[in-house]
Amino acid sequence: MMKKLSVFLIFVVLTLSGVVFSDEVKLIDKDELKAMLGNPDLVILDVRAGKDWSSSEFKIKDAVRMTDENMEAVMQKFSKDKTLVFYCA
Amino acid sequence: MKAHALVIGLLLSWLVSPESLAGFGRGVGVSGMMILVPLAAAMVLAVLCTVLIHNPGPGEPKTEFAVLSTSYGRTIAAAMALTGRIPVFLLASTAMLVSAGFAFNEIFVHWFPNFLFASLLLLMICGLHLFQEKAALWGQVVFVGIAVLGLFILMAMGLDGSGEAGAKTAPPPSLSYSLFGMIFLLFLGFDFYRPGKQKMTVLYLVPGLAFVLLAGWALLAVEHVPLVRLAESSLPHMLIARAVGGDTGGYIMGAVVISGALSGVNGFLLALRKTLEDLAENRFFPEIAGKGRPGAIVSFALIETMMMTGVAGDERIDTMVRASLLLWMMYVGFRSFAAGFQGQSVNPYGKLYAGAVAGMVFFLAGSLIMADSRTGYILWFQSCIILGFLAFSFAWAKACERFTNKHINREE
Repeated sequence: MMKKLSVFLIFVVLTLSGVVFSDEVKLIDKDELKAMLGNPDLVILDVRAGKDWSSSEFKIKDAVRMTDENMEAVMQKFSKDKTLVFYCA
Repeated sequence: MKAHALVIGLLLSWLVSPESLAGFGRGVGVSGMMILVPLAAAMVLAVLCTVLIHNPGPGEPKTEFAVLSTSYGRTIAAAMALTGRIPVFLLASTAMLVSAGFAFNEIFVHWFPNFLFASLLLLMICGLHLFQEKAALWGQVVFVGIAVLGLFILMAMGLDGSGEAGAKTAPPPSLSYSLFGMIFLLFLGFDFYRPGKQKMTVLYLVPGLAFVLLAGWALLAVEHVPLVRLAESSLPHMLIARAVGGDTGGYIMGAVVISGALSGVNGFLLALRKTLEDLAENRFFPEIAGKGRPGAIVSFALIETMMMTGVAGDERIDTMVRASLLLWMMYVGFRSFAAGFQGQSVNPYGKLYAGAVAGMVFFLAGSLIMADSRTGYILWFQSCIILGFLAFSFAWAKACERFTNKHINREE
């Protein structure tokens, strides 16, 4: 019983923490991003994977493609002071 | 004439797909007009394989499964057929439909969800197969016809000597065995069945038609787009179309991509349907497995599930498609060898000829695997598929033997 309760509590905590963290990530639309283009502190990370990326003609100029394979390297390259915009769909 | 249209439509089904066009465009980017060399070599190899596969010796024409089971035994032959047909159908179809969905959303109607469009295309193909096989075959002719027409229109628009991009920016051309293998992959489809009693000459003409189409497309690409851009692009065919005709070129290529995706998926489903029918007729599977309608519904459900669960968004999807295409290529190698080996009584060089052709196919498949950036993953993926289908076939044969008291490994 205790084991099941523990698993349930962990699940609840993880779910709620996900909501809390996701609250800190702002969603922006294309017009907002357009206004930001040219800012030297702006880094656009294209995180689309598989066919979502390869089948799409819509690729933002100067965006850095981030995949599972180069994620570490990309995260080290750009400091947290930069404005990171993630393009995921 | 009608019969010829049907076989040409079926055999070119994969060649005009968006995945083929993308692979070919990148190939042109790497090798420039030197691509004509592997293109010609692949055409010759495709004709040699066609001779073997569609001429399996004297007497009554043998089916795909009959030829394979004579050489490798019924259970292994069934595992080979399933390995060669099912993974490529499921994975490449998912990839092609998603490509078509993106093309529709990004080129024609921005507000229309790409995955919904991909599902509608799948539903349309399923509908054709639920109606009757003939409808699917004629649908195939229309899909290939639209795709080929679109490519020829773009060629007519662009092959006027106005482009000069590629020639000025060409890097030193490079050729490799893997490029030859990649081009040969585009010619696959010659192993599909003959939907009628067409003459063999028509079958030999199909690789020739493919050569003309791709050579023209390569010339167009080299004239209008810098090779470096082609080599690095995920959609080189779109770059070519837009360079040739701007927005109009984009619309034409959008239609080609959608029609090519329909052609690819429908062609794979027709071939798989025939393979299952063959297995059922040879009593490896129950009769229902050979019926097109249940097969179409199961196919629809499987591909739809794959699209819904985001398989297309997986970073490894392109690698999985390549791995399954290579399984298909190896299956063609095994079929060519078996058919040529059994045809030795009419051809004194049968064994040697079959061995050389199949050996070349395996060599090309091997060079493609070794040249891939994810060789380990491809080998692991292929091993899982091969072992899975072998285990399934043996278990199925055993189960039939036990529960129906029939030895599935013996001809009834």
